[in-house]
Amino acid sequence: METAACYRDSYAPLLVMAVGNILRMDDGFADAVLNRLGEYDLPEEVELFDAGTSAIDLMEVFNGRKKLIVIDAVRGGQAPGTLYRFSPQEVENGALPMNSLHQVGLLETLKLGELVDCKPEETVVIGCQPEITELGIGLSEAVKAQIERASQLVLQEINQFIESN
Amino acid sequence: MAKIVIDPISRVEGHMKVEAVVENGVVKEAKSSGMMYRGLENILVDRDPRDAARIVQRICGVCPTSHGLAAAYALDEAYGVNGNITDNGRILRNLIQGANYVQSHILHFYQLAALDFVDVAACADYAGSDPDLIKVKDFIARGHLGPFVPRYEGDYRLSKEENLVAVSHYVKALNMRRLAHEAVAVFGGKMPHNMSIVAGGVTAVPTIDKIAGFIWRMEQLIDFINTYYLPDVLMVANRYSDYFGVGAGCKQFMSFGCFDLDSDPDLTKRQRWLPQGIVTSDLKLQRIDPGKITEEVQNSWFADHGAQHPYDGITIPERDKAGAYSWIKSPRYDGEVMEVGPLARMLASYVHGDKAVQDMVNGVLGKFKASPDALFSVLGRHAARAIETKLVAEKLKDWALQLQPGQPTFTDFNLDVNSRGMGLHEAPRGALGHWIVVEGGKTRNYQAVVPTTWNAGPMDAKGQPGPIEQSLIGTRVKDQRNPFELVRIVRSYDPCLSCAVHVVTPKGEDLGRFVVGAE
Repeated sequence: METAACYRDSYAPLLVMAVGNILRMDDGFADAVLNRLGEYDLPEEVELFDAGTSAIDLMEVFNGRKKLIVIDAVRGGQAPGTLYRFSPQEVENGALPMNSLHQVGLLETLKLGELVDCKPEETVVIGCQPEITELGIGLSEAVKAQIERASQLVLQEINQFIESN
Repeated sequence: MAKIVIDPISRVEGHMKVEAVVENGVVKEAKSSGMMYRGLENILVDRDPRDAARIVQRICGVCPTSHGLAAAYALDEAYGVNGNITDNGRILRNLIQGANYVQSHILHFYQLAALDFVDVAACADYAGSDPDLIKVKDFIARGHLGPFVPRYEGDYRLSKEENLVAVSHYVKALNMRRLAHEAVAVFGGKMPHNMSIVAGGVTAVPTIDKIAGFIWRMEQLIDFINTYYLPDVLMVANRYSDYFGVGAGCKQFMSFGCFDLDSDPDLTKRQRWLPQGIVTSDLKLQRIDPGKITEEVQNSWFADHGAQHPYDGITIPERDKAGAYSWIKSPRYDGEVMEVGPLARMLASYVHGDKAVQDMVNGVLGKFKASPDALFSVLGRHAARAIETKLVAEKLKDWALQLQPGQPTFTDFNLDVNSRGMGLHEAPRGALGHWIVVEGGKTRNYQAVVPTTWNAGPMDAKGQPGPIEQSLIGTRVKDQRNPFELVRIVRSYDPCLSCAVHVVTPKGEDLGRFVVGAE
């Protein structure tokens, strides 16, 4: 039996994906940035996608993409509201310990995606250090203040992609 | 006396800890703990009740579809539209949920459970030409074991050849669950977090091309289930047949029933393809009275108000409560412990007299010369899940052909109500109930009692351990450093405590070097 083809004929080559749980305060950072980006008239090569909390389900949306921009809350040990930009390769240096605490999050899903050829050619993460991840809807001031700047960072990535393709 | 602590146990999702006290090689005491605070229900209070079907889908990244539907059922009743769901609406809900079962069960067997039985390390020196196995080999060579751990060493019993075959099916299954996922999205509108599930029906419209696209996917999935999934479960059962005698548990089962065949306003009377009921260890079926469902918090980190029906449920965290050991509550039916999940559903169908289920179950039991009580076991749960996957996938094809393009999928209703609603449903992992109280058009109370709460809940006020705890107690552990028996038991329930924060924490690293400076 052959592996089934995906149901769409074509995919926007650039996927901008928001990850996070809007019910966990600052974990809704990405959703807020995605909504802001939705106000722009973006090129047709770009698709905005609200991935919510379901990382392992994302494999198929990675299929056929040239570039993936992930927006997410990121714990990187800096002050709340700090913005990060990195690629998954940059943070996966060194092997994972055999019994590491983990769940199949975004980074694991990107790896599983390699097994089934659902991996974007290039991935970049635009992250923001959360302040509050308690239950609730709404962002802390520190994170809210970065939505505009984060949106601009994503727009820069989009523009670079369009120019070089 | 030794204490074995396994934390976290859910290979892919969630945060679960199991503590087992072992004496002379046998588990004497077991504690199953949910390590994350839930209580997301509190967010719904004072909102538009219709928000529930959207917001509850965010409770969990694994079964948003089931939460959305349970909420829709509760809202159907609250808005008085529960007797007027159109045939199209009813069937579309079945198709969306059914495709999600197929996706979830394939994921569970291959990605979550199989690696307790299959030795992925067999690929480390693979010399053949299967591209999937070469990729897995490269993963291992680079030390990228992320999706394959935590794992233990020792009791892997498949032959080298069988291990390689199983690992290549692991990769195939990744593609198949993608396909099932697409099938959910055909009528669900979007995955994850479906948009089309609403009170009163479904907003998606059945068109000929969507129906064809759904059936096309289901055909391939049925092929996969028959050619790979069922045979692989039997291959594992062959090598580990002693697991028909491991992990029995409470031997009392509950199913709320799933896949509506009519629109009776009373969910306990509604005809469902998988029937509702309580199944006892002597294989007798009783009807459910939802008034007998209560939740206790004796051993949970919540303020104790005694056993409460979900309509009156209160969720106030009390982090320092003495003696408590879990964020999960202890749900009970008529004061009794109940196991929920595919095994409970297949037993209810089996005892109810469903011919297809009886034939499949008896076929498996016959192969292993086992009596029906062998179903109360680790392998019984895996077999029930696989059988259900096949029967559901086949049924979905029939139902898709019953859709009527051009006919309505949604029934309108009045928003200004003071009322209550109960949504009894079955998620892939088991009985799921949502209860809503609406006052003045706003949500006054909301409680969700989820499958893993039934299965993984702690001991109750009467001292009865939860189902998973009962499954563990009495188990012989051969090697305490590699307690295979315990993880195999726990994972056979498909526990999911994923109501997690999905904050990316790349190995807890300091990411100072990736900070984006000021403009």
